[in-house]
Amino acid sequence: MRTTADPCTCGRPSAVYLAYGKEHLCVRCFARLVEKRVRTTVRKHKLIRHHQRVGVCVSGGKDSATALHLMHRLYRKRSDLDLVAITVDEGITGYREHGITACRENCARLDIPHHVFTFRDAFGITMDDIAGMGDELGPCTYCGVLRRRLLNSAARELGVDVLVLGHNADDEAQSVLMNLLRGDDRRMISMGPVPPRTENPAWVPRVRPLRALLERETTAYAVAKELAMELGECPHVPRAFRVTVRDMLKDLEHQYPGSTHTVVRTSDRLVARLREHDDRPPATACSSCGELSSGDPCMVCSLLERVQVKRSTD
Amino acid sequence: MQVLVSVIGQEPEKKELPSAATVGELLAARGVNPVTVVATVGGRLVPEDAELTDGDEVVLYPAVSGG
Repeated sequence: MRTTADPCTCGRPSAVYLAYGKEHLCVRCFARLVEKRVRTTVRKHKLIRHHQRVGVCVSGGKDSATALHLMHRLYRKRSDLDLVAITVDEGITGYREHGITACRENCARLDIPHHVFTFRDAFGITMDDIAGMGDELGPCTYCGVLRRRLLNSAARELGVDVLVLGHNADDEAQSVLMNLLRGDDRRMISMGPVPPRTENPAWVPRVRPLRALLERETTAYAVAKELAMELGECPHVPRAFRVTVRDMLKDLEHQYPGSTHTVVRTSDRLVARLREHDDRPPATACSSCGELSSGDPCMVCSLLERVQVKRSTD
Repeated sequence: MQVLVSVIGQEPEKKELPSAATVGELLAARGVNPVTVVATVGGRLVPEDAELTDGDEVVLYPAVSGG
């Protein structure tokens, strides 16, 4: 390879080109930019506070591997913070076990305690079982609802004060467009950099410190830092609406660099306005399981009931 | 010129390219949107406008969500 690409402003060979900023960066300057952007996101929105136990949700993918590495790098000297890693094993054969191996490797390298919670133990069913039912709701609907519930209960069990998710700018922009395309303005309220306020300690706040980084940047960071990661796709994902939106956004970002960040920034402004007029009823306890929910029964109980019905009729 | 290209974890394949082709041109020849991958050449991260030389080993890391 010839180093004919423009060099970084520091003079070193370029490793990454940021098309939206028309900027060439070497590995060192790129890593610094990533770390600065995450630190700024955390500080600006007060995502992590003093004396907290921080639970980093790790799947073995590049984003959560990067999130874990960055949380350790940025906060390892903070004696008032305690890092712990949490993995949800949905029971997806040929996929999740590779991710768990990667999680274990990264956690061992950073000396961070790692805890795995399974759908089978929590709900008595795996995602392979659910996908095999062929429900028109699609496996991703089940997976998202059950995973959020299990992460929350796992966080409570471990005494975690805040859950760090590895969601990047692409994930955020996809969610924004999906909500718009579905006409789901209520779900928009729960987006944005800071979770909606809830005084109920049963709900552990989830924060997204990587939301100012493109997916390509979290991947490049993980590659540069030689993090262990599972890069395969979930076998159940091709049925997801998110994939269509994802591909559309990737094309937009290629043709019009900066589009992804623009969607996220515009959404943040809209969410702030929506929250001023939030007339949703406060969450109440599900009469079946007792967990906080906006409906009764909660989505978890509704879906698990649906599984029982489908199984009994098949 | 000829380069070896692989998606991480898969078998590499040979690819004929015009002399002084860039990583971006290699991706275009494979129909890959450059936003969806990160490329290394000889183990080093490279931008799309890096020029390739004969015998280079290119590895592509998918930058798309796993679900």
